[in-house]
Amino acid sequence: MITVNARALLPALALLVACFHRREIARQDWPALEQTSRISVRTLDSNTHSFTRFVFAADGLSGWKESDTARTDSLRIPLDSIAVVRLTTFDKKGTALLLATAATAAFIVIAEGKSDVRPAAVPRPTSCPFLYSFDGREYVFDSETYAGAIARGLERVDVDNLDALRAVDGTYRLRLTNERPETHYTDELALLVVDHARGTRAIPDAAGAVHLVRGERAATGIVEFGAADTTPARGGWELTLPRPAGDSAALVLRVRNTPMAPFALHQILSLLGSEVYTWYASLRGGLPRASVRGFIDSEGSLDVQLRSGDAWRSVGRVPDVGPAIAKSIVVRLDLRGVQGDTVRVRLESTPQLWVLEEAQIALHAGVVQGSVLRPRRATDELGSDVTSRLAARDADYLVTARGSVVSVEFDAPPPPAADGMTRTVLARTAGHYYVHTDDRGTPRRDIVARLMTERKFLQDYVLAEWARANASK
Amino acid sequence: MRALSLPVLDDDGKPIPEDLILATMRPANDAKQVRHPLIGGLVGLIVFAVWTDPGHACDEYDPCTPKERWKRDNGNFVGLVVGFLVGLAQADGRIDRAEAVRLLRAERSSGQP
Repeated sequence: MITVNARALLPALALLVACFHRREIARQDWPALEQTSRISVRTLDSNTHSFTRFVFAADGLSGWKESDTARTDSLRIPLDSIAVVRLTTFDKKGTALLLATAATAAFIVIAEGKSDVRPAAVPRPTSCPFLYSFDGREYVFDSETYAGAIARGLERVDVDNLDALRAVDGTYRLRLTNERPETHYTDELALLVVDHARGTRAIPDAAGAVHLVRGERAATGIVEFGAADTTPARGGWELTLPRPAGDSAALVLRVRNTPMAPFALHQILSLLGSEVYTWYASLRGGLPRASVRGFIDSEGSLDVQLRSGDAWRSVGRVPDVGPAIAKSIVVRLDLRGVQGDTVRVRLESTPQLWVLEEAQIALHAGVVQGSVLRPRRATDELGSDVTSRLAARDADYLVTARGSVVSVEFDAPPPPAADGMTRTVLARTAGHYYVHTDDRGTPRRDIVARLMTERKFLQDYVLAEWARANASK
Repeated sequence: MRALSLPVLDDDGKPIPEDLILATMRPANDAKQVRHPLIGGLVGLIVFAVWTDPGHACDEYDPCTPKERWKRDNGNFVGLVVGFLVGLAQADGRIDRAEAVRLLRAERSSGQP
């Protein structure tokens, strides 16, 4: 049995009414009707006739039905016996507007029927401060900075391109945020302004020096090694790149970490339980710091190796850059000893910790200093002036907790006056951070010691914990 | 058939020549018929896109409500359709017989030739 929903009938009825417009035609307008219109005629004796072709003539109305094919009069009605003539027209405008209104209304009604409850946000797979650049319209997430500096003893300087930053009214504006359950200690936030020739790019290396490169050419071959479903000792990519002229080249990488990198650090810190602060303190100097630095370096960083003769030679390391946004980084390549038209480079790390977004080789055009800009004004989310905390690397830290947003302004120098020049702005930060872990748990120093010394154990452990954490989501 | 029909009269009861009516009638403008819905669709798409933009990334790190997500996912298409329909409803330059007669009567009433 078919049931008809009365509420569904109403819009259908409204549509029908809007689609077809029916109106009475005054007698003097009968001859003005299009002879192919649809009319209905009611006679004085209350009979109604519908026609789709008709002629109002002196001797009466001659009308034909649509289905009629013969050109004979199907009906002739004397004009004096016609009471009413009604014209039925398809109202294209009304129908289109009604449909548009109905579509908009349906859109709003369906939207209003949806929930307004915002789902819980997944924490960003990261563990370091974020920098947002003002591009003239809005703040754009532009850099994740001093990633992996998880204790004061591991503090480092980080330099990163701010691609979105634009000077507005002579001012560069940044936001430094803490969006994770961490405490950030930022010692310095400065801008490096590099004016350079068009056609060159200014990109930092792992140590923070800014290099000019030009004539970038993409890798002609990228082969990944280290299977994802096993636990190999090392994984990464082998690149084949066209050899540029000369012996000094620059490898330009655009890389980021996978979420597993901060996850692994968090796991290790969690295992320290109530001894985590003692462990942090031990990193302030001596052997423990060197040992942990060595561990992070060997397991966390991306080792860049150049094929020279029959051997791979390590030519640089890219430290942790965080998983939230890719970072451009330069590694100098000394091509003396490299034979042939191609350059082979191997990027090697603990498997599944890095993502390679782009690899290029370029001519190295020198190292530049750039102008250093100090903050003109920095205010935290409470409106407190924190400019002096960020002004210099002096161990006078800006300490921020989760939810903190610090707005920082810099005086922008005038744009380069010379033709053919362009500008690159980079952020230079120095600092460290502490990840909030369960500091009441039982310390598992034995496991931590094994994790830091046994590569296979580390990989098995992290992969197992990673799988467990993802299975419980 | 037309030769047999009653004459169309103006407001003073004088016949309006059939030739004049035919000359006043105009078919729909093809360019307008295409241009209006196209421009309407484009404008509708932009208006709905701006209207339904949640103003943030709408990803797992900064999630949207189901309402925001639904509006964002469907707004562009609905805007396109609504704009197309509004464009379709705009005048296409056509003057039909009844409109031609109305214009001629108005002309004659106002004393124009």
